[in-house]
Amino acid sequence: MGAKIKLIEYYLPERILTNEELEKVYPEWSASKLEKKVGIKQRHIAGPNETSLDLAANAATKLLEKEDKSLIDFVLFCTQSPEYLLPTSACLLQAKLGLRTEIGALDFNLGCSGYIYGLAIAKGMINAGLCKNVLLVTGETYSKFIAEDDISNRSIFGDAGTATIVTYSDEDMLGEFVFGTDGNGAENLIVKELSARNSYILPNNGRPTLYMNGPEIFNFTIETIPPLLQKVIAKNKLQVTDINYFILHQANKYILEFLISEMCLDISKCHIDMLNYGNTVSNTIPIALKDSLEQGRIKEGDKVLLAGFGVGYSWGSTIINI
Amino acid sequence: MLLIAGDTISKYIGKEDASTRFIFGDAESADLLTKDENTNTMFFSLGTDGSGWQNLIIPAGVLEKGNTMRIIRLQ
Repeated sequence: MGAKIKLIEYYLPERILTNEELEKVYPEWSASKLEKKVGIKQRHIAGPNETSLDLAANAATKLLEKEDKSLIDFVLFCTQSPEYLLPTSACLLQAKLGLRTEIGALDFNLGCSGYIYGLAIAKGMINAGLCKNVLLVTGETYSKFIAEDDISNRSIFGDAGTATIVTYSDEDMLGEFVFGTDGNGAENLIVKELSARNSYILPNNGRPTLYMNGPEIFNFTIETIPPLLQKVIAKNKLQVTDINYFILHQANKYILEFLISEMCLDISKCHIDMLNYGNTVSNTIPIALKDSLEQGRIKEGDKVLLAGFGVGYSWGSTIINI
Repeated sequence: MLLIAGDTISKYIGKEDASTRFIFGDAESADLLTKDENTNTMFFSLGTDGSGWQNLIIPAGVLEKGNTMRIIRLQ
């Protein structure tokens, strides 16, 4: 008994925000310098009436063109921008996609580590015999939380939705997982408004607003990720040289290059591609996996290390067999 | 595994909404689940039907416009 990733699809909203557009609004920022530093040229931004549910549903619809939807027996929806406070977005997705009603569906609220946790939950449920075909979706629209004048966050984050089918398999293709959580870092990447803690009060501009302490997030990442990778490689009884490809959360090019050099990894085995997407939070890993498979950077038989890290703080890693 | 359930749904209920205030209460619970080879297997039966979404909802949701956050609609 085991679990494997069967299919991945993603969806990017139509509207594109380019570095040139940002340069027009903030003349002190240079489009080319921005691309050189963070490795992002453009990002997709959800329309005013387009939500994370819509993005995830579009990705899932693409996926269900290739898969019989009656096989889906559990829905996991990772989002931090849900459709409503209640009901659960996963329930809305069940209706939107016309899935069977004799299935379980739940949301979980994680950001950049979310896909790893989704794979772990799916694997656990499949191995426990609770279900056989999990539809794992991620959908995120951080753009709706970012103030117009917040150039640094606008330049980094993009919106997207992804859908993955995790299915049962004779051989376990999803390896051992390592998890980590440190809520002491909560204040460094946070949307405070519209929360129970703040009596559901909205700020004057009428929108919840994302705050990110970039230097603190950077410090957290460089302290946490190297030992995380060591632990997950050891837990899977492998050596670093056994790993064919590394897909870390695509936060930005600067931080990934720093980590790769810190860990002395072969950069040709590391995925760095957020040029056309930006940092799409929980979507970066499934987008990178799909692109890498399509572009032949990874192939059957490869061992691929996946690692997500960010808001919470929350982090997680696993090694999958393709 | 620590399994926690906690809800303060009272914070979403309008003062004038007697029928909803009448029903809901706030509480927290914490369960500790652990591995035990000798216990009976738990079996689950799960169901989801999002077509009923409008019948128990906070319509002014996270990404919807408006400031009427504290109103739950129960039909």
